[in-house]
Amino acid sequence: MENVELKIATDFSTTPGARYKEEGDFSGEEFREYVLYPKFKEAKTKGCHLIINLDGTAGLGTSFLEESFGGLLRTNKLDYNEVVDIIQFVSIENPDYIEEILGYLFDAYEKENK
Amino acid sequence: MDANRKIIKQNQDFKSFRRKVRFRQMKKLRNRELQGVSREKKKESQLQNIFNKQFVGYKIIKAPKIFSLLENTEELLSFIHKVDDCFTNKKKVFIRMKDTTEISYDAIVVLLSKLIQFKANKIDFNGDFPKDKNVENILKGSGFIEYLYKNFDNQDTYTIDKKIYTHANKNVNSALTSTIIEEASKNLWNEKRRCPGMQRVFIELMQNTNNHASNHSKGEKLWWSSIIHNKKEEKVCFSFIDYGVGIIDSLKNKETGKFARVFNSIKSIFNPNNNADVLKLLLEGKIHEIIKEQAYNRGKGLPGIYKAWKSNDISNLIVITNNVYANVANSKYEEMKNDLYGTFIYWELNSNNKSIKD
Repeated sequence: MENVELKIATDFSTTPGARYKEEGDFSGEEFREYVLYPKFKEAKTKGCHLIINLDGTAGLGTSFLEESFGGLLRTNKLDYNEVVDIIQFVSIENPDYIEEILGYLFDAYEKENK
Repeated sequence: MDANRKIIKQNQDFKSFRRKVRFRQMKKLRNRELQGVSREKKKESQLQNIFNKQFVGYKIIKAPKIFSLLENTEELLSFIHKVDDCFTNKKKVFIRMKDTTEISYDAIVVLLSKLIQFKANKIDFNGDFPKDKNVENILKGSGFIEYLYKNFDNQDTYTIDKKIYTHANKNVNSALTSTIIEEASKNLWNEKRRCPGMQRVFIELMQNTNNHASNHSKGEKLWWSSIIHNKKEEKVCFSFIDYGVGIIDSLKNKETGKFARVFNSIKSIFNPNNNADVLKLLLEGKIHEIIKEQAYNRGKGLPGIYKAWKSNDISNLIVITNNVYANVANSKYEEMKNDLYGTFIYWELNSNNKSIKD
């Protein structure tokens, strides 16, 4: 089965910005709401992986990443294990992003389950 | 009728005579004062008289000889305080720059931000040029002068000759900073390159401005940035300033709010001696470890900037906030006598820093 693919630079913006919509364009909240969550649902329905390519942007802020991925658990009330199983990350330019995102997901999971 | 006219004429003659006598006395006095004074000094004195007449009611503030936040931090902060006092009291200000012998873009940004703050609030702001031709050229070359005669709205975005930027409409403008980085990369590598680490620095700073710069409401404060290409040393120098509560005070405000436990934990775990220690802990991410227990999605901005420096995304990171001066590269963290009500960050980009070629 073909996986669902998502490249932030082409499917959303080359210049992702802040955490919330009111703080500026291309926020993490906007990305999660209009791109990430629908793609996640698509992958879940198809029973495949969601491959997220993090390369090609001008740079990703900590708040953007935390709101995008931590927000899946916090706002969209997704299950941590399900998210970690379905989403796979690709980054040749900056592999540190992957570890960082997984850290945000775990922090959000811990917080939600306290 | 004739008698009346005669009296009026006599009065007028008397007053005219009195004016002439007074004028002669004043002239005599002035000449006596200027006896033995060189022609240059006489000219200077005349100019001073003209100045006094032209700028009545202005508060004259002398700019530091070394007009640089990095090189002469304490004096420049003291200068900012004087200008701020005038703004608070709605007093017209005249910046005396004639004795300034050194000037840097970070300080020009400060001056420009103050100019716009005054003009946007319809308070007169004026000044003279440095006598030093080099310094005068730098000031004029910055495009600062063009802005002296413009009318401003605080909420505009300004770009000055691609060297100074400010933004207020939406605080986090990642497209603008991406363009700034592209321009800088062309200077360093003669081609467009991406510097994701540095873009992150900009985003964190803009985000911090939005979240912490003002105690009053989100998005109220402006941020300013200057970019200058130092061809001789083959580097691009960046400075970013916001006038808010500053990093340390922002954290201390949490002492009484919902983060009260955080601040107490910091005190009990790390036992910092002073604010300089607190800033070091913040940058190194140690405080974030505690903050995330209560607000896991906050407090990552500064460690992100520090990490960008450690990962060689940027060089020569300097942070000035409240009463702390931190030269991160030299591990120099110290308290100052004067406070900066806000945050100033300086960093450099050179060809050895990380970049991505498309």
